[in-house]
Amino acid sequence: MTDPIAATALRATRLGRRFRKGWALRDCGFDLPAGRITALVGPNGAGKSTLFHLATGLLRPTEGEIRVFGADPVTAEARDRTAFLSQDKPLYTGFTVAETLRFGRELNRSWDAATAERVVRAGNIPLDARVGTLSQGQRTRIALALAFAKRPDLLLLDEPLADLDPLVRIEVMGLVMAEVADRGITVVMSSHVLSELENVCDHVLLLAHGGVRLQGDAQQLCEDHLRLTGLADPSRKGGLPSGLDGVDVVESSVTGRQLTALLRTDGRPVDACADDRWVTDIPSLEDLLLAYLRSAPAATPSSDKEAAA
Amino acid sequence: MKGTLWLAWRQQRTLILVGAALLVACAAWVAFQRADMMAYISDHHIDTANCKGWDGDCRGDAAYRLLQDTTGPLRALGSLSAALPVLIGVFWGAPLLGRELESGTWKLALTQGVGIRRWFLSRFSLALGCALVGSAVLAGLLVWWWEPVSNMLDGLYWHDGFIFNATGPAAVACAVFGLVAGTAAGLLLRRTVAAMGATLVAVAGLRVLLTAVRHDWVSPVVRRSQGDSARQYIGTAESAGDFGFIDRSGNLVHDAAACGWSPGLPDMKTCMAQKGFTGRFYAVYPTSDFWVFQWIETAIFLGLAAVLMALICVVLRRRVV
Repeated sequence: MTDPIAATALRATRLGRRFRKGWALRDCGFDLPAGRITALVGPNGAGKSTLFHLATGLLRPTEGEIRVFGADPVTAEARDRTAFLSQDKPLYTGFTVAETLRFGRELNRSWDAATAERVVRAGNIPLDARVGTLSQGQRTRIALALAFAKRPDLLLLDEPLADLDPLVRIEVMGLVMAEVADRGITVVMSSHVLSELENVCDHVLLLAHGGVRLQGDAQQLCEDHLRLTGLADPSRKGGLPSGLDGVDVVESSVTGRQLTALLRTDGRPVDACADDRWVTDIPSLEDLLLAYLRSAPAATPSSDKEAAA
Repeated sequence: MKGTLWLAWRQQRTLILVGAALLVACAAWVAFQRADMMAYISDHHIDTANCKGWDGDCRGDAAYRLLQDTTGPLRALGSLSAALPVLIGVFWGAPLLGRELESGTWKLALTQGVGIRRWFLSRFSLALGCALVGSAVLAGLLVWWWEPVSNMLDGLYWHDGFIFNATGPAAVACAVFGLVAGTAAGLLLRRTVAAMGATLVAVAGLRVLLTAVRHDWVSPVVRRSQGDSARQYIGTAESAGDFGFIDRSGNLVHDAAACGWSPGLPDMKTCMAQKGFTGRFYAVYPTSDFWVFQWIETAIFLGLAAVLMALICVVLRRRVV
């Protein structure tokens, strides 16, 4: 097995997929490093699920390519190294829990029965229970048991926390984190619950309108941005201070006379911010992602809106 | 059982066990009924071998009682065998992929260690094997029971739907078509119930269509008779519904009423002389045409099944989420 730290786990090159309605993903390029936990973020319809389906070979790309540890997702090699938890967490409702685990054993080359049973037993789920009679949280646990027992190098989780109550969310995240700590696997996880991602993810891939809007190391991305607050400058469009030439304004909004803006500085000092009237700090990952999500529909819609008001 | 075959068995075992139980019950019932029938035939010394055709040489109360008693149950078994392809298509073919796509479980199955080809081939082969065995056994049971009283007096003939559509290679080929049509409908419609409806319409519709056009593919045999002499009995052949007269130059006049009889008209001999007819004819499909019709329909069912199978493979290769 290759060293999981040095390698790229998931790489997309000019990846595109078109459906009858139009392009769900287009011209996507990214490298997700192995051994990291990547947050896949984007508004509904941004192409997150399509990306997961392309990465698992459930869908073939219309153009470009996607590689799992260098292999085409439809190859046996890639299939053996990938586990996927789909958003709807499908399981055979007529199977018992034991039969569901046998399904995993029969259909996988490597199978860690002890792990599967440990995960199931830790949730106090009887092995002879029918899957159809289990709660949503218990089903998620069964689906995770299947995914973990496969001993994957890449774990893809599409909205694993949706439809779960807060206690079960914590339990499920605990399961995933324990597995990550145990084996150092690569995880790509999509979620709308940004605050939960902030605690666990160290890499970010933000999609909007079928394209990559932001990607990189979570810590580095936060440090590359500045959050600016202060009194809006009424003499200037959007209330932003002067001296921001060459700085990318991700988002800015004015509430009353208070201006809040997120700037992409890439670590360079910004003259205008040296001024006492402005307070600058490094944004949290949640603030950063929210700013990008809000500004996703167009290049800088917030400032346009502000100018129009 | 191992791997994807275990999964196919686990998912189809209810159908297989219920189907096998029904088949065994059917076989027991047929064996009992047939033994009863054979005892009746030997007790009443009915010479079934010389009894073939409408004019069979065994016209006695016992022979008519025999047919009266067996035709009903034979029709019931024939109906079941003729309906089997529709049942297989609706309850086995349509959910084969349709239920997986509808419930999303195909995403679970295809993200394990096996490829789409093995996953599909396992489940389809198991269903195909069961469809072949089930339809062949049912068709065989029907032939076994019907054979002693086949094509006899006013009983069931080879061209009756209860026999023709329920036996022979075409019955088995139709079951294959039913299964493939159901599978394709499930894959394309992605809804089990909608696929079931489409399969019902497609398989039953094709059967009805073939029954309607079957006779157009083979020309019937014309049986001629001189003057007004008695015509050859139709025997076990199927009438093509074409009767008439032969004129002096040997042409067929397709008008059975050309010399009809009613009070005040001359008798047939006089009428034929007046109109210049030298003889009469009627057209039939002889018993041996059973195999001609059977092989034509077998080829149609298997050809359509092959086309649909190619479509299934293309769609699966493209993997539509």
